[in-house]
Amino acid sequence: MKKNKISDSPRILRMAGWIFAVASIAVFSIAGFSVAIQDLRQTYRLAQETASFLETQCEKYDNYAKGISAKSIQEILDRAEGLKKFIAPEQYSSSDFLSYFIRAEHLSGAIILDDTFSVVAQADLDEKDSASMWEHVIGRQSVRDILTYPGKKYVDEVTIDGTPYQFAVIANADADGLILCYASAQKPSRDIYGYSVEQILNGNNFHKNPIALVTGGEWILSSTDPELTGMGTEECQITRPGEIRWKKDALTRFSYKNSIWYGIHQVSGTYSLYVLYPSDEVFANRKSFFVIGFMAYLMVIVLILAVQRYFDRKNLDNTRKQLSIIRGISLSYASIFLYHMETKKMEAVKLSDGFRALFHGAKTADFVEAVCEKYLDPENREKVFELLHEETLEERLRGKPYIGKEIQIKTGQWYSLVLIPQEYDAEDHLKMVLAVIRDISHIKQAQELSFKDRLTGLHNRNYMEVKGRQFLREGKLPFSLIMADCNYLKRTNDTLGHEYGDKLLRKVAEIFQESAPENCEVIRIGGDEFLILGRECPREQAEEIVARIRERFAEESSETLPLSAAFGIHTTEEGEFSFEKAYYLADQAMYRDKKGTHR
Amino acid sequence: MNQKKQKRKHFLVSALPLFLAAVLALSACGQAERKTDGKKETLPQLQIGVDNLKPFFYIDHNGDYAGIDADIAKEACRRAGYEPVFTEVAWDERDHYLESGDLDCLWTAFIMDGREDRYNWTDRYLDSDLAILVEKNAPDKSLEEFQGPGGVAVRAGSKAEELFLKMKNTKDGQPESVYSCGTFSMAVTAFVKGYANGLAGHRVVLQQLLDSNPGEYKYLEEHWQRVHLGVAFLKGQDTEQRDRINEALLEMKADGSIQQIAKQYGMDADETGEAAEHEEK
Repeated sequence: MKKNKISDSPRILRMAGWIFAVASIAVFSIAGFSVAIQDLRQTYRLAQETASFLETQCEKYDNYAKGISAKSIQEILDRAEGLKKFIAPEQYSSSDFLSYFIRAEHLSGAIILDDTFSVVAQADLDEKDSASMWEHVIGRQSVRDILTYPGKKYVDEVTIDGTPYQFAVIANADADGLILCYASAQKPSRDIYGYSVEQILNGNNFHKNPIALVTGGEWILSSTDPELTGMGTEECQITRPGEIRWKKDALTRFSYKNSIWYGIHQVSGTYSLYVLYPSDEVFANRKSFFVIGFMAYLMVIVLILAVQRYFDRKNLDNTRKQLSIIRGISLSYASIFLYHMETKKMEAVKLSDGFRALFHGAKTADFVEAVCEKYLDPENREKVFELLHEETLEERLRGKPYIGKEIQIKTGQWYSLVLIPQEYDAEDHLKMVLAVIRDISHIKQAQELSFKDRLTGLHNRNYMEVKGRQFLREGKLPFSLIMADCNYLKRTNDTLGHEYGDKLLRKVAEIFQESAPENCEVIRIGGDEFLILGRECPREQAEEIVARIRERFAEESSETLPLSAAFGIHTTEEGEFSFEKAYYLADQAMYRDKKGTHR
Repeated sequence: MNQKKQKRKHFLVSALPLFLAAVLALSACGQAERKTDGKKETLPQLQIGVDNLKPFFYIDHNGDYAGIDADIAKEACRRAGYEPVFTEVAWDERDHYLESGDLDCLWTAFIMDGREDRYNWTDRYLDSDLAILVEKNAPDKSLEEFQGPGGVAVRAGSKAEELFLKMKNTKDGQPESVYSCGTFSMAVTAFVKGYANGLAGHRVVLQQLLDSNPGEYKYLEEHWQRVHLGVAFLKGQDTEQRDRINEALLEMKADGSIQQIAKQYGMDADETGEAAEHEEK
């Protein structure tokens, strides 16, 4: 038998929900954190690559600028060598010649020194006092060494009064004096080569669109943001010294233009390099992760809900179907109750009109009492109490699909009262019982008709066959079968007519009925044959019954209604009871008696 | 009503993970920025004159002073109880700054040889090989035979210049050309652009040019001259600073710190003094 137990499913589902939620938090947190870390690492790697590119560009530009500078110095040196080669000793002291020379050779100036480092001649394009301007340089040991080592050519750059100069110093042809030529330092010109420091970032696009900056000294030399190029480093928040505390070998997070940025700062020679990324670009993957993750999360939720809805609908359909069946079935019941064992309360599922008034507002015990009082006689009342006896109910129902009783109410109608175990708890204790009451009067009536002999009012052969099987099931020994066959029925029919024959049979049936005790049932098998079934009826009692019947026959017999019958008794005292066998043996005994009577 | 509450609860349960994940991820980023500042001890300063000469002394990507001498100087000052203050000077005018009192010492690959009496030196803390670099296709000549119209580029006032000037000058009394540049960077450019036939200087410095231009150059003399490096203080002054730095340098040499630093920047084991130490033992 299938038992209905209280389901743990809702609790398990709730727990599963929380576990799913907590697991989701953990997974999303770890994954989100991991993606953010990866974003930062990737950004740092890209920043380094970009800075490395900037560094290469700066080096390239530096080499270009140094090359230009070296070329200029070499040209100054070449002019000094030219002066050394072509100037005659008598022209050493000629400032006019020197003045002509510097103009012809595009120099800013030249100085001729003697072996005591005194100025012999000097010329400056701007008519400045070259001797005092270059006094500091002339005093250098490197310059003075040239007189000792005339093979030495000394070149350098120097800033005098804010003007940058390049110069070359060599010994004169006789190695007894020095020649110093100088020119103002030329800046690499984009007009000649089409290349300038401002251009080093032109036409370059970097991954994740950073702002790249190159500064040198006080100015932002080049930037991917045109607005910043040419700006003073003090004017720009990014390059202003001390404004941002740049981390070493790591991304620095800072606020710029009212948003969060990440960037690096590197130094390359005389240049400072900056690569800066807006937060949105840095965490683009994290953003995508959360968007995609959220979408996936929603899809999972929707999927779960769809599956849940599908099963709910399926369950609902099943439930509706079952309810429809139950409703259909319940129509055949007069009343249906649910009895809760723990609370001892009865719940009405369906009430008959008669019960409704009694049930309303009454306690369970009072309701049962009122019903019994109103509808049942003491015998049936007892049957109901016996069935509803609560202390033994669980035990009586154990292992059975139902138990029930057929009850006849005072009005003569028949009802079946059936108790069905409905629900057990986790400890296998009965929690709920369904009690159904059904009007079975029509069944009983049909049963009566099919079991009744209309002439005599006794049970008929159908009844015998049903009862025979029942007695066999019950096995209440000793069991006696008394077969009886009426004598003179044919003669009565033949001589006095069927009316008298019927009278004869009715009289015999009446005497049989009166003579049979409670534990015996009288059946007209057919024609003039009768059978008495005696449960727990020993042979002595059976013989007593026969004797009583014979006695009554003798008393009631007349000329027109001659009452006489042959009897055959078989009693099964013990052992296996076979109805067919008992019937046969009783029949045999009856024939023997009949032969004896007619002999 | 209950159903509504239930739905709201379900929504919260569903949305909570995303919200918390976002908060955690964002807070994680914020945390990466936190740092604490430590207390600094106030130490007497040591004004050190330096020259930009990679890998002895230069400014790294972070804008910090780096290099063999920078690292050794930092560690020696830490041990001697000084705060190092580095000042880049025109190396040709180093003596002027030292004598003016702007600097306490000179400390960038400074060669002691031949200048022993000019400064108050620490003990030598490192050796270095001077070398000469030429173009790959230059004829394999001896140093004495090596000459050309441009001469050898050197830094003015350097030991390499001095050696060259003296060598050339004593050959036959007829000076050959020596291309003396105010800075080593100018000397390098003059050599690279072909205005000088060779470049002379510390091998470990030249090696960088060799490495960054593979197949372009070769050594004419890889180990031309072994020189000793020291830290130069002004002569005739209180020797406390020199003594404390010297003590720290000796300690660093003894525990292998100097050798370890020098090796990091590509110096040979014998240049770091390891070989010499073994010989002495």
